[in-house]
Amino acid sequence: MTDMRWEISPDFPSGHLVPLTTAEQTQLDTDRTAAATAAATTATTTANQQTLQQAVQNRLAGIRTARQAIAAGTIFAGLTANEKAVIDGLLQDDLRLIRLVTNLYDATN
Amino acid sequence: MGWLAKWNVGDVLTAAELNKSVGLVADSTLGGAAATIDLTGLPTTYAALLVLVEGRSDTAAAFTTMLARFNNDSGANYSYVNFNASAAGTFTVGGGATSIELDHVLPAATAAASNAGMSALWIPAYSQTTFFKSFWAGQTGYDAANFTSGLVGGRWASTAAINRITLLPGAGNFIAGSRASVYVLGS
Repeated sequence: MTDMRWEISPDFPSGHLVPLTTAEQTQLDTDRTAAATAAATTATTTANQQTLQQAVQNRLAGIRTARQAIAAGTIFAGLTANEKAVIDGLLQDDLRLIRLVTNLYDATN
Repeated sequence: MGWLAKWNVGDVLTAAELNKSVGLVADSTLGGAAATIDLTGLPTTYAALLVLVEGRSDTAAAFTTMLARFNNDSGANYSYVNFNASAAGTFTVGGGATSIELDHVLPAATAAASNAGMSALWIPAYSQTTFFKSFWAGQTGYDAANFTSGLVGGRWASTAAINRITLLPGAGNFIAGSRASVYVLGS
């Protein structure tokens, strides 16, 4: 089936339908195939970005919950204050590292 | 000659002054579905060009992209970066291609009824033949559930004056009622 184009030109300023030539139809088919490929790539990339961002947010929330639980003594209640401080410091380092990587990722995507 | 002063009652405009203004060259609403909107025979005697498009595609999807091409050049001479945002997040698309890609512009068959998308494509110095052509577009559309807003900037690697702009949905046809307007600025 031959597609139509809406030509707007000095002779037809209001526009009119014109059948595509064979060359134009071939080009249109090529364009549509390329656009479908590009759209699929964009959709995959966007979905991956959103999945990754959600996973990072979940991880950050988990670390914050763990720090609060350690401070409240609901986990690791038998540890000394120094031992708790060491664990809390490690978790803080994780938070900073995740934020840093997230910022770098956002800046390049 | 100084800056243009404001107009006063009784002023008589000269042709030179009128030529500094904005003029509508073409304005057309599709009377039927079409695979492309083809703006041909554009005048190349003005300073800048603005193309406004509002449309919707009939492809069986929530939305599709819109492509733009200059002077029927289908070579790999277009470079651009898209930045789009919606309530679902943001994404970017860039690179080289055989046309300009305006993402998420056209709502399509399964999108909520009556929604259309738009793009405003600016091409300064479109008629000069010294440099490649730079372009910039602002756009908004509607996908499955969200309004989207985006910017596209890039260049067409040709020194030829632009006298033809072809617009096409990434999939399907523009439906009847889609509209394209071309404005020229300056002389």
